[in-house]
Amino acid sequence: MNTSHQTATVSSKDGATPPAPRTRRRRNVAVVAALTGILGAMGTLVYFAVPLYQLFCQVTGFGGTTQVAAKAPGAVPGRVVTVRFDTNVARDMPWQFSPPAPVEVRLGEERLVAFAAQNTGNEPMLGTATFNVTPFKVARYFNKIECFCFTEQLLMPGERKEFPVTFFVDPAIADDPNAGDVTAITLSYTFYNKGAAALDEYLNRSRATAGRAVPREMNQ
Amino acid sequence: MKGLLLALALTVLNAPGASAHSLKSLEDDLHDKEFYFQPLDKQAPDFALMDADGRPVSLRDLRGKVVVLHFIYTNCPDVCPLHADRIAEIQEMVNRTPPMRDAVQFLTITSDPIRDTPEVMRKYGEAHGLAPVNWTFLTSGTERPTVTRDLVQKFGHKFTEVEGGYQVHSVVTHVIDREGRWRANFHGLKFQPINLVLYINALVNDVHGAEAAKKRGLWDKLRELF
Repeated sequence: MNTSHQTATVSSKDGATPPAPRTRRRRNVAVVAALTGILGAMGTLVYFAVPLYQLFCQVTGFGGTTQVAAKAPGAVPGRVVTVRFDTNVARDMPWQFSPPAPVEVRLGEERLVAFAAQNTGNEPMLGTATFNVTPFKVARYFNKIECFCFTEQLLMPGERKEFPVTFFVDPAIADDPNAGDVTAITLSYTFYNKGAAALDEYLNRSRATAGRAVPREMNQ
Repeated sequence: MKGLLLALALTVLNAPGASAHSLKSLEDDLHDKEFYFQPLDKQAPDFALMDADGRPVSLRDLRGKVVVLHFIYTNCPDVCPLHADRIAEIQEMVNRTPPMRDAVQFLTITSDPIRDTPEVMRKYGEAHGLAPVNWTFLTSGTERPTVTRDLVQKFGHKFTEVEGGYQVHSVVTHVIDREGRWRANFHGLKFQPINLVLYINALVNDVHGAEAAKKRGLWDKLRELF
């Protein structure tokens, strides 16, 4: 009783007419819809928080995520650096792995070279490569745009394949007093055998991919 | 036609990845393919121990190197010798490339400093093919036998001593980055050695990540406490 009296008093003071029941219901629906929308938006943001944060880190380099170079800034006139290449193969691999010839590059200049490997054994073999840049103090200035390291590379018996590497030397090296004496950089790769289990898994994945493609081909 | 499609699938799978050389992409790949890989990112427990000749070695002294660390005791009858053999196999793969050999330190720490005397420790490495060039066997010494046992627990192992001088603790290979951060565990002995070698190589070359770790702010340190 008391409540209805207070409500009536307030309405009377404002001089507003109470809304019709249908209008009030419509307003209530609008409020509920708006709140549901906000809740949905918040839920979506929470759900995508991790990938969005990762994207932010990749773009800005925040949080220690390594920035993989996408493009060279372009050649800067002046200092030229010799880049040499070196190759190694693990003990149990019948692969011949050859480096490209040394190249001379200007700072900021994008350069493409190709390593080559051949499987001289009688069995298919899955390899994967590690890499190193020396002297170590200039590794931070050596940027690879395209690289074959860490990925699985299959060579059938007798097969020879080229592995391209695109790189540039960051012009910021010129501002580093510790790197002033560096005139040559060596990029080395070592191929390792991933083993029989990884090879089987790789071939099974390949067969599954081919198997999925067959019905589509037959349907056409 | 199926053979052609298989060849096409092999070509697609075999295409070199343009951005496949970052630590992050390797961690994602190992997460999918290496069941025994556990990525981490926290400060590794520091320690001050000594080698068989009494020379002091602390984790802080090894800043700038990737550290591969494991715990054993030489009286262990079964899994420890196999773990040591596995570490030797990985060391041989890493040392194949001289820049890697210089950038990585392998550490074996005894959880039984009383029985593992300097004499015993000196023979152990040779027996398991561990090359002293970048491998060291560490102890806390007979006067402080509980120090390495406590360290075993700080690295997340449950430690139990049973009758006959035997001990029970997990078989884990710990990986610490150049800034002293504990970055991964490889559990047991069934992981693929090449996957650990790739991970070590990615950490050695993670120049930008190491620089970011040096700049780690107060907020990051506070967050680690929780």
